[in-house]
Amino acid sequence: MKYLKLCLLNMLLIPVLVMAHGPSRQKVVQEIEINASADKVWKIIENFCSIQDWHPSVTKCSADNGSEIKSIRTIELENGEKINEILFKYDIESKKIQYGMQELEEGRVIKGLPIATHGSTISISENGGKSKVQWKGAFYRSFPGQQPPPELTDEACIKAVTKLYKTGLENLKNIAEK
Amino acid sequence: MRYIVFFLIIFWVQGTYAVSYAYITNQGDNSVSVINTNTNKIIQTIAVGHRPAGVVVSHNGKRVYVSNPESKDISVIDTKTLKNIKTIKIGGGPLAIAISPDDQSVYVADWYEDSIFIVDTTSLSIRDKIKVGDSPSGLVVDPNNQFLYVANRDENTIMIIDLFENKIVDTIEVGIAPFGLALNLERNELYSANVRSNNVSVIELDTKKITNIRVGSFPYAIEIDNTANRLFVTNQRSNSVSVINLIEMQNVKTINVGEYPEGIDLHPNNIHLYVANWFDNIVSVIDISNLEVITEIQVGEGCRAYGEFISR
Repeated sequence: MKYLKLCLLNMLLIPVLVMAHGPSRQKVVQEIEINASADKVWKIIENFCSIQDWHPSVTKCSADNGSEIKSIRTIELENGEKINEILFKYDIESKKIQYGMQELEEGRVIKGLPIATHGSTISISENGGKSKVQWKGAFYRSFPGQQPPPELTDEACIKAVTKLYKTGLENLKNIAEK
Repeated sequence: MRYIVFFLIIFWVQGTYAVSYAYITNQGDNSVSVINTNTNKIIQTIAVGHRPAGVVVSHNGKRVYVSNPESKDISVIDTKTLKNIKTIKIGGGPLAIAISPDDQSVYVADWYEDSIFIVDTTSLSIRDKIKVGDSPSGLVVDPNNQFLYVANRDENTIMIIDLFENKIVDTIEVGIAPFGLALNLERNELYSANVRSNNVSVIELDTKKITNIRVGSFPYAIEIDNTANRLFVTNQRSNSVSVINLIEMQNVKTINVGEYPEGIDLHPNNIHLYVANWFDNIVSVIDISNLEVITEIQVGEGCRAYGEFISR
């Protein structure tokens, strides 16, 4: 009986170790021109958790170590989904923040954002008093098998990430140009 | 004297005409960019299957084999006509691809079927299939055609297959999520790039002793520079190439390249290292004598070039 329990426990544990996702990594790049200085835009996004203030789809954020490298923030989306993201690079000089999604538990699909292994970079460059903000990311679909349902395809993921970046950048522009 | 002249002519002819080409798989464009490495210009773009990733050039330079994970096949390219001459269906998700030293067999790792398919290059059909571990992702054949080494990404192991019997003879635990492999018979070592533990495992093949060397984030593929006892490792998330000194057993330098560097291959001149940067659609060329990027070549969308992509 003890062995049976152990076996059952193992069956539960083993899949957790497998990090499955779709076969081909996808990419999304979004850019926006903002009629404000790069310094001003940077001030809005410089805190790793300020995303809760400038991104309309992020309702909450808490980070375990502020804007230090390896700090993990938990963002909550409008639909209640929570995502953990790790800060990889924080470059004040070139105004660049690079972060990545913490590995999802096996089988988890984020509602409305069915991606896995998401790495992302936001950077600001300045050109004659105006700034250009670029947000780009690479990710896989979280559906590991070969025939994903329509809402979990690579195309659906690209659409969802594009929307995430786009709405964020548009609102960032609104705030910065106020 | 006559013989000497004869050999001199042979050498001259080879020296003049042996241009090496780099065959770069473009995941987003479903194509292969062919680069003349003398000029570093693209001379042709060849349509292949869906989402091409892996690539290997035959040792005689006559053919290129490309894995297409999403159309579940491999494309066979004739390098003389630069045309896709055959498509061979392979299992569920072919990715890593390698070729035997005699060019007779192509080995294809199938990510979904957890198997290695062996393709006969004369009949261009599947000859055999070997079951391996979870999500085989990296392959290397030893120059004696005795063993095939397979990295099983999702179970953190490397399997050694005896190619005479097509049987697994050993399984070695390495770092987390091993992907690219490289074999160095001069040192009798095997190397794996471990995506999730951000290190390279050095495996002594005699003793199976393992030493892990820390590199950048999400290491992907490895190239060996035997002349200087070095390894070059692409770090996808650090946008860099780590230089490992095999005597000191550590990462001694980091070279910045484009974003998400993946495939890496040393030119037969032992000077130029080619790196495909997936996010930027650019191939970086590094001079390994001073470890500097000397040029960048714009290729197709989502270049990956996972494998030995330069003709010898």
